[in-house]
Amino acid sequence: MENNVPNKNHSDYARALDVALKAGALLLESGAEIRRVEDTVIRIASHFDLNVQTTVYSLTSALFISAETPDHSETFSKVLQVPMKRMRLNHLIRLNQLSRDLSAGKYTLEDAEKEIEDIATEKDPPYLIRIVAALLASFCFALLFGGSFLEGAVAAAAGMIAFLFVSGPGARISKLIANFTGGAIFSLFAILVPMLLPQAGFRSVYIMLGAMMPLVPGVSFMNSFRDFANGDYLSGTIRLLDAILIGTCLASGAAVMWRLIEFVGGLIG
Amino acid sequence: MNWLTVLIHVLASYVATASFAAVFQCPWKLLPLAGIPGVVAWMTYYLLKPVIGLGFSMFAAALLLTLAARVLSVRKRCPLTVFLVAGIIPLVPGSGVFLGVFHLLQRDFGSALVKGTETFMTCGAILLGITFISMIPQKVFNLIRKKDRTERRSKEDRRAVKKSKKEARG
Repeated sequence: MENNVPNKNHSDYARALDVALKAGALLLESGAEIRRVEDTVIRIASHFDLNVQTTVYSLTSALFISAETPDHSETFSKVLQVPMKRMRLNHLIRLNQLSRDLSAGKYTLEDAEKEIEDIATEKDPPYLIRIVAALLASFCFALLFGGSFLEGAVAAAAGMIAFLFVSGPGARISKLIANFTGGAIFSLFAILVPMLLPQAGFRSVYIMLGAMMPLVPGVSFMNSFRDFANGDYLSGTIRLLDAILIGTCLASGAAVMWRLIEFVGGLIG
Repeated sequence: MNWLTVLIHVLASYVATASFAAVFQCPWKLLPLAGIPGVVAWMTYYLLKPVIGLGFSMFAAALLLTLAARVLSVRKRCPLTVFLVAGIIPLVPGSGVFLGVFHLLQRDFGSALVKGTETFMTCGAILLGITFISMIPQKVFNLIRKKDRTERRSKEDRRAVKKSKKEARG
């Protein structure tokens, strides 16, 4: 019967839960570990007096939450699907600050809603920076794994082009196929350049190892280790599997390209 | 191993780690610091590997990496992830997985088995290293936190908020 009466508190609690859930979803898709997501959601919800029976359960791609109002009159529950996206450290830093300021009482509900909207629509830094960074990383890792400076330069070019493919058009297709193709692309460089310039003495393996680094699933590995360390075994397993599958796809792409070139070379020569 | 090689390795691991932080959209002002954990991790691994072998050097590198990342994250008041995610890239067994499968597909089963076992060992060593340092309570690290003006102000704010809440109730 009471449902007909407009209840101001009800909408306030629902909005508070929405804020907490949105913050958690943003954290999850920006690459935070499970413990941080659950802690932040609980902290925000209990700051807005939803501190009775608040339970959050998070997986790598979903958030489940249920909370009760302080007078036990109502229970809210929500399930949200959060697709895995790429690492965004700027989002993590701002959400961390928001959650800390919220506990310090610096935000009202409206301000928190606005701030979260602001974070969600924040513009990414230019794409060019990420490409140049991938190029530098390939070069440096080729050196670290024992390659020469020239091998590093070839690795940088190969790594950048493979990264361009995987982060550009590759983001729209299946992750496994994108990484398979990425592996094929950089191994094409790693095989053809030493073939075409035999006098330079390039070693394919160092070019490959350097060029592979921008595509290595380092984020999945790190989050998997941290989830295991925190006792979130299910999420840790999912992320470890993700990392191993991507590594396998990279290697398969490279090996298939290697075979293909051997085969074609055999036909020609 | 001469000094020039060591210098090149320090520089290369620094630039590589900082570049990875840039790929992960780290803010500009934190970028120079984000390279440091990677140098710590790679140099520990690189210098200790000939002495104590792959597994133990990886474990030591993971310990020091997580320690460095936690100290930096406390000083800079940002999530641990910011310093850990780029710093762990030099240690991550991506090349191990890659080479293992690559050898397998080339029917070089001996090398594939060696690389696969090494990858497994590396994973375990890094996992243990991260877990050990994660066990240290946050209070220990808070001792080295910089007490700055914003914190004092936030305490005053908190007091003001409490006061206003009390008044609202009363």
